[in-house]
Amino acid sequence: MEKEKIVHELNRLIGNEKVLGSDMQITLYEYDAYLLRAKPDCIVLPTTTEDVSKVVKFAHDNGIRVVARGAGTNLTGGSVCLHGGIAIVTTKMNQILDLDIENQRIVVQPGLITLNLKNFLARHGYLYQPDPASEKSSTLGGNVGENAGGPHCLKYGVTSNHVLGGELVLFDGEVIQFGGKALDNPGYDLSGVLSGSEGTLGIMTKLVLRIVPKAEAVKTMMCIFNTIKDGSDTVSAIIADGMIPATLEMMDNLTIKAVEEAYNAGLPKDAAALLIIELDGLKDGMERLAEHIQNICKKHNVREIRVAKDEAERAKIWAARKGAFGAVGRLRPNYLVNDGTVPRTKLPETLDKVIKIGQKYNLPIANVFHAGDGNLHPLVLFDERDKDELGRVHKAATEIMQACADMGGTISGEHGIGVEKLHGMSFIFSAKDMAAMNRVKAAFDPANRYNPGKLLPELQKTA
Amino acid sequence: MSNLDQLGSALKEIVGEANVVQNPDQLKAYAVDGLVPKAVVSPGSVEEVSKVLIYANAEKLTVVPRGNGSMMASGGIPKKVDIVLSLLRLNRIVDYDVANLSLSVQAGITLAEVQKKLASGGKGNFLPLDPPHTEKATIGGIIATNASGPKRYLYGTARDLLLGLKVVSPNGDIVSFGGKTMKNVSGYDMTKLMIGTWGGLGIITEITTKLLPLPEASATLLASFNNLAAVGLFVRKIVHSVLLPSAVDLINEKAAERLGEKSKYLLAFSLEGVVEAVDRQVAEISDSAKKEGAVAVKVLKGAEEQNFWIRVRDFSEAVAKEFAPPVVLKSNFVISKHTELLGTYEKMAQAAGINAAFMVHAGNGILYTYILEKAEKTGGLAEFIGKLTAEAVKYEGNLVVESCPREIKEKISVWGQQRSDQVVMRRLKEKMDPQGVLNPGRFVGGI
Amino acid sequence: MNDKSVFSENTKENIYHCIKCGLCMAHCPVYKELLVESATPRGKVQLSRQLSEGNLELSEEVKNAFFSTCLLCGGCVANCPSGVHGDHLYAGVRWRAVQRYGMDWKKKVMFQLMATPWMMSTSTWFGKWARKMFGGPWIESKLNAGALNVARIPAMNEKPFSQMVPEVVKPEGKAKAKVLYFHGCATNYLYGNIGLAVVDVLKKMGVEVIIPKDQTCCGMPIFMSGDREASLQGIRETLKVFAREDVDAVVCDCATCSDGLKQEYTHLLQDLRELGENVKDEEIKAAELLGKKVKDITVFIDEHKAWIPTMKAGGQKMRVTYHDPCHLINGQKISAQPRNILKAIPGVEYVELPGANDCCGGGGSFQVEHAATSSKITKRKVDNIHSTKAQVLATCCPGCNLTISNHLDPEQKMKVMHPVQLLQIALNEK
Repeated sequence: MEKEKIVHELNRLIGNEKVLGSDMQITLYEYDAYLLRAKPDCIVLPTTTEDVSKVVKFAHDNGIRVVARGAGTNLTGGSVCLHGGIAIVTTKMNQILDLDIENQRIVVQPGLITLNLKNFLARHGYLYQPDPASEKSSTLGGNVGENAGGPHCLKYGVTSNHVLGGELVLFDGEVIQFGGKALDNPGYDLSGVLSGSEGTLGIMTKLVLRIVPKAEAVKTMMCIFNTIKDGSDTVSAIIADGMIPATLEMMDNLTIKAVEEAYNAGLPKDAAALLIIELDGLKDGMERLAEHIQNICKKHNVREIRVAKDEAERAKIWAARKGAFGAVGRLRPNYLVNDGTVPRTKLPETLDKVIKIGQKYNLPIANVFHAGDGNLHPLVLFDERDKDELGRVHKAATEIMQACADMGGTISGEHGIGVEKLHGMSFIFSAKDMAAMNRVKAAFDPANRYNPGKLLPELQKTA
Repeated sequence: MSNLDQLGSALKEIVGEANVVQNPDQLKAYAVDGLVPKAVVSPGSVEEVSKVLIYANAEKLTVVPRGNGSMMASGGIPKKVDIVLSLLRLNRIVDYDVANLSLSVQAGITLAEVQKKLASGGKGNFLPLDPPHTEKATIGGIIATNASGPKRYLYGTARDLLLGLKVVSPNGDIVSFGGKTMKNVSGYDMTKLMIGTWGGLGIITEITTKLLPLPEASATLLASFNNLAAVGLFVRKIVHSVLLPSAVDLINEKAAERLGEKSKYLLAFSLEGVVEAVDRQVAEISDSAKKEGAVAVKVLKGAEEQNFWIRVRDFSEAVAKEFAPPVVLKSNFVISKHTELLGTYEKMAQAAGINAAFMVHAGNGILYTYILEKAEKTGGLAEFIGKLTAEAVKYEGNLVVESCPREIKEKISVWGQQRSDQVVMRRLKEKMDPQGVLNPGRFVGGI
Repeated sequence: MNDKSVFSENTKENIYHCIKCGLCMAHCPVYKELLVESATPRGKVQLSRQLSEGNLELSEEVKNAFFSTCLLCGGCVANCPSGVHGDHLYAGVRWRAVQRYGMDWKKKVMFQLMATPWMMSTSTWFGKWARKMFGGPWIESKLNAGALNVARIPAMNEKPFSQMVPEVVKPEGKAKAKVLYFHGCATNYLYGNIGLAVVDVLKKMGVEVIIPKDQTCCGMPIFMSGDREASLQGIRETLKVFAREDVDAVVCDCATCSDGLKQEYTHLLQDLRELGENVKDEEIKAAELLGKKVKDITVFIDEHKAWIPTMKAGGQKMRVTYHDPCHLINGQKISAQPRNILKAIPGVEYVELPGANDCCGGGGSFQVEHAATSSKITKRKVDNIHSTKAQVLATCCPGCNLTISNHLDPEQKMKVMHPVQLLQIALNEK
């Protein structure tokens, strides 16, 4: 069906104030936060489940592809309409439908911005645990689609551990409810398989999330080391000693320098590694644990430990970490964020490999990582206008993925496969593994219309 | 050669003669809802499991995976039972990575054995799962049935712990998902999908899970109440506070009696963590309980504490010794309604003249009903279950019959009320097990 | 100008530093309301890229996107992790858009007036007379200038502020410092009282204040509306009058003016030169000099707080809250100093405003031309202000002052004042 007719029909179905189709609008929705651009045929901005269902049914009846999209901050090309079709943008489906403190649940529409949810909950003394770095712009639907992580997932798990149910629009427009406010609803864990499915199985139009009371106490420390090894050894030693802090985040020297130049956070520019350790929970025993951790740091030659005295100082420590990616962006115009994950104990060895890969391809690489769970984020710096450099960046990214797979890890810890990592799937999955996943896809989306060309290499071929 | 002989020799070819049972007397013990299998095989490797399934596909036979059989009474009546496949010979600890706090074990090992191994040496770790059948339950069975216990309140359930698993697909493919990393979003989360599927989407042969260090200290506080409404208010206070007990269980009079405690409503709080936090919580919850109307409060430590929770976990086993086959029901519902539901259930049991004990994971919205009489002697049992189900559904939940005799299964749906996601589950089963080899008919909606 | 490119090379470089991370979306007051990509800073940077590379036509729709979904508040620039100056890009597109499509004639007339002092003062005199003769509360209450209720727009000063004060105001005793005072159009025509407060406070602090009579519009509103060439007039005049070595500072009480003088002039002139305008080296040097001298009045006062005479303590406390004008907090990063001043006043009970640095929604002519969007943004601000139960809303921007006071609930009887006015009152208390 030609673009004009699609727009015409959609106008009829959901109203023309919810449909965009001009050249300008198509240009605006051809990208996400990855390097790929691909134009949708048109864009819809539904406000209700019914809108979404109508659009999907229409698409199904006419063989048109659909790609769901939240804020489009996806790092792997997951939000891009690789093969055209209708971009279903959920940003206007941003209502809080049901705050249920009594049952410790909240029901929301997928377009709600994660930080907005958390600020709302904070007023009631409650928390939604997952804290992806993009939370002030990204939507909950996007978070669920990617199974987003964040620094606090070491202790509290990732998004899928906090999604207990919701509403799903199936490939033909049928709307079903899965999971719910109650735990252990009989059946398959659809909530589990939908989290991280990157929009390839269906569109979630409602989410039932777990919320918990705010912790009593928090203690945040920033520890500065002269070698990365000292920092990683500290991380291992803390865990070996039976302590699981809420976060264990590390940054390397290149990153520290960039952050210091960008924000004047008072960081020593010659430090090799910076480790942010946060404890939370009951205040009893927290001082003792904190002291114990500091002793472990000292045993591993820590240069300096800064303990946040209040919320303002804590915010300052976190600002240095949250601003890290962007600060690094001042060194060169673009960066590619890798997302390999290895068993925690293999981190130092993997980092060495990453450094060597950077040297091999003559690319600066700054490292920020979730030291507690082994999820690295090597930031490969480049200028996308330099085609040769761009080519080397892709090669380096592939080698980093391979290195992580070789270390017994995986190619994506929290950003998803999207388009970016399709070619890495074979590093960690056999053909049979992927066949099993393809069967899941076939069950949900027999005609491969939901976000085709993402997540599974097979789908790329049949798109 | 008869079909049975053909079957026997094909299986012996795969697993070795010693690992195939076809003796009719022995086979009876492996019946599922009265359906006796034609053979029981015990493969010794994943490849052997795969070969058995390939054979079953080719010969259009059905396969029922099994550990120690603790949960075999659950699920719908199978459409057909040809081969029972025991996982018990796949019982190794594959990789215990202390520094990474991860563990890979095969499905046939018992949780008890795993915990013993984890606790030994150094500071000691544990797998924070405490489902029923403390000694017997195998890892594979626990994961396949998503079994859990009181400490899920703090530690979560299998979906919060598993990092990966190895499965043999219904068509015999040996596949593996996830791994040793805490975070993994590569591909679909097949690990979560496989949990609690009752062996219908694949046979789990190995799991990788994260571990936790053993807590420094622990104590259990028992608070006895006479008034259910007071219990509700008190539990609400604790659950919405900053306190972090590892379990909050509510045990009614009949159940408490069988645990050797005299109490109308017994609340049991398990507290684990650093010494200071445990002490503080014991004191605070104790004070609070008294203020909210507890008539008695006591603290359990050490062996006494351990034994208490083992008896709680193994409650259904004890019931089964007296009333076999036991009738055990699991209701799920929104967490704030546990006293409403318990109160209503007690009244319904009384009205129906049925002797029942109830235990609630009060902070999770899970309630177990144990019928304390012989099922065949209990009139109106199906009707009773129907009423209990409707109540749970009223509170946005459902009711699953974890165990009951076949006659009851013929009258009711053991999986409770069907929901709109049935259509997707059916499609998944059809795509992943088109031949209907694994446990056909035993899961939700008869898939 | 002879170069047909949309941006100078220098400005264009910004485009390639945008990695499309989308974090800017969290700081855009317009996106918060409209929730579409065209309303995001990222979206406009990407459109700028396509325009610059010739992949997209500067259609009416594109033009409208750049005007109707952006208040040039600078929130995106202040929070872009990669340091992209989106505002330079949007201003560039507006410029080419205006060249192609022209500007609304009313706006053109308005800007011409603002740029020419004698025209402006004559017309304001006329305007005041006309309002007195033909206006009146009833008519005005029915009139809306976009989102602004005409009745609640303050009356113009009896005479322009510049005519209320001598050119030089000397303190008592020896002057501790000498400053030039750039008062801007708003103070000159609408908020004479603020101007008087600035002069009074500085005088009491022992500072000599020079208020050049021949000062004119800073040019920023004209520039932001896309008419770069017309804005040059005001820019050059301002440089001539204010770029002086021999003063300690150039103080300013309007956030937009000070942002322009301090941050934008140099870049603007360099950009225009690159695009073919005849800009001399001396002009750029003058802009650099001026940039170093410009200080918002609250910054100057805070830096010299030791010069503030002792204020009478005790007495009734007034509950005061503070709104951060975008052009003060985003580009200039000034947020502590106004608060310091307020907190130091004995009669002030200071309470922090939730969302203090949220945009007020005014955006100069934005609130007139894009009333729907503007109203939504303003409503959030006003709701927050009312939640503080403050009696006074303090802010350092006449634009914010105008917008906020226009929409506050009259029942609450809240006053909107510049911190320097509160300081003046405290200093004059016997």
